[in-house]
Amino acid sequence: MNSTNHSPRRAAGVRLKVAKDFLGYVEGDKQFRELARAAGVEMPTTNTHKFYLPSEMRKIRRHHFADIISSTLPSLPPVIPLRITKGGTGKTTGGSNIGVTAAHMGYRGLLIDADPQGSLSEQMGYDIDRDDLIHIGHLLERVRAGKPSNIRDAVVPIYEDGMLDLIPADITLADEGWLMTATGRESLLHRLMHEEAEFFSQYDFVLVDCAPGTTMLAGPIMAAAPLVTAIVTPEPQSVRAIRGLRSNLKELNSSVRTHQPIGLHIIINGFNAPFKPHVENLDKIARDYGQYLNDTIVRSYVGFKREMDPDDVRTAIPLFEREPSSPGARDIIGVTRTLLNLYGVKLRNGALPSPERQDDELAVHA
Amino acid sequence: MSGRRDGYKVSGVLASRQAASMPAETEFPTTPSGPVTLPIPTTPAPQQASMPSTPKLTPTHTDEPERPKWELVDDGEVVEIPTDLIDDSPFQPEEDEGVRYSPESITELAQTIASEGQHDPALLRRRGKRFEAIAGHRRVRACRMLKRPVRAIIVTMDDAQAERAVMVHNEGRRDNSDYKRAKLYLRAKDQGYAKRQEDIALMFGTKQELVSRRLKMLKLPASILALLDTNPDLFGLTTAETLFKLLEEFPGKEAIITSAVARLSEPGVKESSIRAWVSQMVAADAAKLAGLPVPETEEHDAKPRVFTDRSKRPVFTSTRRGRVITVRVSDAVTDLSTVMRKMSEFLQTTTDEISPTEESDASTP
Repeated sequence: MNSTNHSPRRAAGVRLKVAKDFLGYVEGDKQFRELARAAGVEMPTTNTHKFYLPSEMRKIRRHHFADIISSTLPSLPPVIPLRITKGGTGKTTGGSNIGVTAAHMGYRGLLIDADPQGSLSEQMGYDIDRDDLIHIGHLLERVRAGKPSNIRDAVVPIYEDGMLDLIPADITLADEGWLMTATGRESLLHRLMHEEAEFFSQYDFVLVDCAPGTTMLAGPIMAAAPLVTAIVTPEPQSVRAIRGLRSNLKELNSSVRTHQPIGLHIIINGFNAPFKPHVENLDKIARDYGQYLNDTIVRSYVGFKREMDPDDVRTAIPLFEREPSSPGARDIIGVTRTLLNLYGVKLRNGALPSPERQDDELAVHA
Repeated sequence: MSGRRDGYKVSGVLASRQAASMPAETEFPTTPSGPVTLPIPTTPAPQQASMPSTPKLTPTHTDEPERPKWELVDDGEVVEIPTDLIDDSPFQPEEDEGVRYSPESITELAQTIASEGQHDPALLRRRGKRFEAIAGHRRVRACRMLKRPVRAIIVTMDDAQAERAVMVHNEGRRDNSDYKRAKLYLRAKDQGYAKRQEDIALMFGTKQELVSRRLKMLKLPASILALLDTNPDLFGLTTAETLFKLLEEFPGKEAIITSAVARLSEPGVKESSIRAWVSQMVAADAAKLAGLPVPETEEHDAKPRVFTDRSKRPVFTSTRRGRVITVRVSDAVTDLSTVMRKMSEFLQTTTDEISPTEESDASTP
């Protein structure tokens, strides 16, 4: 593990009310506590507030929905790419918050930082100023060369209960010249996931924070995803950037993804109701892209600016954990719910696929 | 849409709009269309992978024929293309071979690219599995020298489009000479891309007047055009027009005019000196025929000559550059009119001595 000078932290956990909400549990608090205990969650004996950790939420979810959890899920989790060419629309803020929120809902996630600025890594409290950092570019390069990816060396655990991991990035990710000449580069992430199916199948979702602008790396990431999620602000440049993304998508859909076109999903972020142009642009986005929009509009909220101390990234904690009952956190919860539903994020068994199954998988796609 | 505590929902925004204004069809799926499947190459066995790499002769994709790597590249996208896949344009004027592709100039460009990178992408068109240069023949050569791929924009063009594009790009070169442009215009006309001079002007983004003047250059005598072929930068439009006038003024003196043109390639010789030189040579020629002494032509007073008074202060400084004599008068001399009168007297006497007959030529300023 890529864990020199980094120790995973304890997740903030959610309170009873939120925990019940996340699981859609409608019965009383007492019953919920009993359910938790039955699921094997350690409950406090004193009269203190219990914060339900992601791993505990997972246990309760598994226990509660035991009879409806599907055993026939595809062996690989869905890839959720957050991508828009415009910078500063909230890809990273959204990514980190959606990641931790989904983890607190009981889903095990892998975050991939695909931005050479490494801001997602830093937002997750990982100091990228180190020599031993292995990023997604390294992994894809190994896949391309036909070498073992050793993906586990790249992974940084974020939570100590293992519910959220990160593949970090630093500026060396910007050196993507090798991708230029890589044959079938669009399928590289997909190949990595199949070659490391055992590793990836332990996650319920893979969330990728793409770099702004058009990078070579964006191709393989988008091509491995069922839908691309754009995060836009109700501002002119941002609205224009959707067009750039559309042409990216069209290009991929007419080349590598002709049979299964990549879909589009849009999250509106940073909405400020007193700003008239925001209202007008929101209206414009709703008119032009209504069918792609996440129902929840993330409001502009000051708490997002408090997530990180620029002098010490290791203390960075996403808003959802820092201010769980803030308007910002509420919006994030709404967005995450829709997103998980849309991408079909399900509680997966996390069991290792049998060798035969892996072969079948390869045979089907080969 | 007031500031609700629960936040804002898109459904709320949409509900407040007229249903008629909703987009009718969707460009992209709004939900996943099943688990993602992409063609995956058969994984090489680990032992093979760790062996010293040998070039693979068989395609790695099992379900499709081998395709050029850049097939997926969109028109207009900037990509890096290995130089061994790039051919020269058959429409590139062959006279470029000598001057523009000289090893020195390519090395110079290669050094720039090596230190600064290749900022300006070349323009290539697809030719099957290979590429053909439209613009950037020198960049391709420099990158080939550096053994690095060329940054290029890929376009799809048919032959006619490619030829036109090569022409237009050649025209636009900053260092392009009028003669080269004239030849390009003629070629565009011959190929039928542009019939009238107006069409040529439109095609190359220039003025009809310039097209006309440049095309006229090609009507110079063959001996002069031959000189231009070896060095297209020898002279430009203005000199060409001077040459036409000289040819008219001095019929039968084509040889002298040609040698005047040849003289332009000597260092330090200005295009503007051609008329004076030709007149002088013609006069000398005439004098020689008439048995008169031939005036000296090659007397160089490159160094200014300084005339000082008794206390060694400079009073006059004279310089001669070409056929221009300059006399600088220092502040010490207050009576300039006297100096001027004496000089005029001297010049008049000299003129009278040179041409005792009625033929007078006040060529010295």
